Amino acid sequence: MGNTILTLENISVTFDGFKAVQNVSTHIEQGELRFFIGPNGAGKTTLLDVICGKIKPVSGDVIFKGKNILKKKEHEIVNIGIGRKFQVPSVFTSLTIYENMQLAYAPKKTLVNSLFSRQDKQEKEKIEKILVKTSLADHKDEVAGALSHGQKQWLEIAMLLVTGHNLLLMDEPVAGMGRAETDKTGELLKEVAKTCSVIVVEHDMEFVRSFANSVTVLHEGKVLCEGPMEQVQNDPRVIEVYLGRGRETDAQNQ
Amino acid sequence: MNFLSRYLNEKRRPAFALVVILLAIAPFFLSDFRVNLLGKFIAYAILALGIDLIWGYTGILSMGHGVFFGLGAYCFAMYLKLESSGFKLPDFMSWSGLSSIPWFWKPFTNPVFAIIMALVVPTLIAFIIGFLTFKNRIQGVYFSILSQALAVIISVLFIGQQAYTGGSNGITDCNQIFGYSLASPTTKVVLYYVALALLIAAFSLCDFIVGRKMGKVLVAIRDGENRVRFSGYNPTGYKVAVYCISALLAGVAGAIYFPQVGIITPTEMGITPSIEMVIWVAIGGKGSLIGAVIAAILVNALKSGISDTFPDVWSYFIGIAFVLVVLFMPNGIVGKVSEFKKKKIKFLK
Repeated sequence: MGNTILTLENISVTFDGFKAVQNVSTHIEQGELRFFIGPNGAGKTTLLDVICGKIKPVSGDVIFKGKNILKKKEHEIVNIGIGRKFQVPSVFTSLTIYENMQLAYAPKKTLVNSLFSRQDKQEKEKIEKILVKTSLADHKDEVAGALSHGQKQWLEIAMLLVTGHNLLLMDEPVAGMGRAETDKTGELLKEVAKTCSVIVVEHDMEFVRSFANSVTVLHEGKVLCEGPMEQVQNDPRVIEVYLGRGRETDAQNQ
Repeated sequence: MNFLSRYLNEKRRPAFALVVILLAIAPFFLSDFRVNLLGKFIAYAILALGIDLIWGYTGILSMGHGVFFGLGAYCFAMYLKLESSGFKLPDFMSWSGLSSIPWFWKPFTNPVFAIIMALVVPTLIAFIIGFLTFKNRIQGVYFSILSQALAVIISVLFIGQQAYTGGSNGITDCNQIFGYSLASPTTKVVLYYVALALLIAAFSLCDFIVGRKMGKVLVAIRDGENRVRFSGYNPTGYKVAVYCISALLAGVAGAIYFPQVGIITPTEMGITPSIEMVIWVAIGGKGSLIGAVIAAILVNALKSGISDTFPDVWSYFIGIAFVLVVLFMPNGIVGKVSEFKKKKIKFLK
């Protein structure tokens, strides 16, 4: 498996004695668009937190590009190529969109560089290209606080793209979006997956069905099953704990 | 709103140039006494710039900046006291029963050392405290309380060590600076212009930082420290740096304050002056350098005017002013001005 970019080995996380994640192992290939799904409290977000260094697991290893990254700090993990998008859109609301992008782009993020480096031409080109891709180019001099919810989500994704990560972790990127915006985000993710690997945590099953190429189903902190969407969808255990329940509520809503 | 205050921020340089011109010609129109007062307010303006950088831009509320101001003042005062005593034992030490100059006072017979210490001591203390708190991710209210505790601890410490610090009387009765009489009007005018030059230097430093990407990172830390971290920046370094710079500016302010005012006491390092300093910045407009400068001078001019006639009213006045600013001008004077401009533009359209 020469193309594996990320390996999780027997990850366990405990919060005050509660086992949020138990012995989860999985691996992500280069260019894979992987979805983590499962009921609330299954440990999906916790798993992303472990990968990006926000939470330290009680046991297990996180191997990224062949190196164990467990001991690294959050910003160090970012700088070796793992980007994270949070559930609530978090952008810098009093800076303009362009300034938000500049901060994300900067190849060197030390104090000295922030004081003395100047904008280069490459930076401008790259930022503008990605702003066009995410339909934000017309707003680039507006402050980010003035954007709609969906646009903030895109800006956050755009900020991850401009940094040039190898692996992106996205926590519910389409939460609170309408259908049209959701589809557009999905297309964007597909586009993104051409150049890097993406892990998406998502509740919106329709979205998962249309865009996932592989799915990991988590339940009560454990991996229930893993594989292509069609296979997972037909797994009786999955239908029992998650999809089935989802279908019932769908039926009730109709 | 934000966009407009940014628009105005870009105009901070011409606005500052205007303030500098006004301050530069002021001595030709004011009495010696008033010039001396204005020089003191300029020292406060330098300090306000530092508070604006850490609070207005970075969103870290320090309520203990009086300490850094006081330390800068004390360091330079130690030299002036020694010079004024003819480099013999200063009066307050002999009253407290010391017979020789304490070891840590001795290097302060060198004016260059004293000036360097006025910059280094506040910066170093800010570095130690900042490193320990920010590295351990102590934020928001917890940091503010900690900074207040610092103000209490240092002022109590200075009161207690009367033989070494002059106790609650502080350091006073200095009559000389580099061989010139502190009482002479010429010395006072020279000190005034030195203060003005330092204000220009301080403003240029802050203007540089704010204009560079570092300024954007500071604002980004205010908006969302977590996002900053997950954009690959280590906020700890930036926060420690900005805390040190603001402490340095406070030290500079203290050092130029002392020879003009002639007294520094532990009271100036306590909580009340520290909070008052924050209020100046709030009134001027958080995140506006020029606002901090103007407000520090205006509020203190008002203070001296009001306390001349009604000495008891001032603390009510500043309290009410703060409440009004919070309620009606959350972006301070500068925010109000930009709002007014916006209305005018709409009207013209």
